[in-house]
Amino acid sequence: VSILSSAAKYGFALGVGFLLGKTLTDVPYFTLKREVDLFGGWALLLTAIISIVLVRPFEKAKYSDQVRKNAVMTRLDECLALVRLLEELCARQEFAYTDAVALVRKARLTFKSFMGFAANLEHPISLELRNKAILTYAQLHDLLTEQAPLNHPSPPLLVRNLNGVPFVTLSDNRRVEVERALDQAKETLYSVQEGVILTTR
Amino acid sequence: MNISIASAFTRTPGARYIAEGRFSGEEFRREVLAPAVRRARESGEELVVDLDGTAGYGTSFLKEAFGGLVRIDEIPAGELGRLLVLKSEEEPYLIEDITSYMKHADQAPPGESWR
Repeated sequence: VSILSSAAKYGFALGVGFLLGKTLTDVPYFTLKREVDLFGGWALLLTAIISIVLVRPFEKAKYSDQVRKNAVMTRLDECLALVRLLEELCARQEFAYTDAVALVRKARLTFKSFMGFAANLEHPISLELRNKAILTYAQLHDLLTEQAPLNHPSPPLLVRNLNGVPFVTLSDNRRVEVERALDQAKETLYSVQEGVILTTR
Repeated sequence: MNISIASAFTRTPGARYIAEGRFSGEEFRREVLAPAVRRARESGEELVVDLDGTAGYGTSFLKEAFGGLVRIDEIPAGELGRLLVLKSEEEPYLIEDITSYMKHADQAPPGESWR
């Protein structure tokens, strides 16, 4: 399809070049025999110039935009996959404290890396969305790893020592807060995704 | 003076209290951080704490380790601000978090203003 599309464009450019060549040299009629001379040469030269100067850079820019968009979307998918992994972890009745810490950290750093990557590729991500995502990740980090002091009457995050490994149980209220923050993280990432799609040809 | 948490303590920091499992914030403060701070106070040197190289820190670990220096070891937050140099290239936001935990450790006693 790409070869056919290019052939059609080059054919079009050839026709435009030929007409321009004829107009510039003011030839009222032509035969194939007559055209394969100086005027035909002009037409071919103009065709080549139009093809090189106009068509190729557009094709190249379009290809480059597509590659950039795909790369940004792949990175964004990684961010979404990590939020989904956090969802799976939090859906369990009990999970290892260090697993939650490591996963939130990875999600935060992957988003940070994504922002740097998108900026390098000149993909505009709004400051509002960026700040919203950063705050949501920080909130998730606290919700999953911040314990109440020992004397708290009903700790929202209970840590149990299982053979030296700390395991976490979330209270019902804390679980609701975590789920809300996870939903917000996903919504923010979807908005970023929408922005990337809409701003790329 | 320098401490790298990953090499001097663990690559997988745990929860808040020793009773909750290995590599807790309380254990780190008692065994590594507080003695190093004491040595730095005596010698008048800065103590550089390198936070990089671990799998991540829970909020409670950091609050207990660094906030505990103010709350339990009774070192004024202002003095810690001058004494400690926190270093993290991987997670620079931790520096601001820890500074805030130390600053507010003596302002909000545990259990009273906890949400």
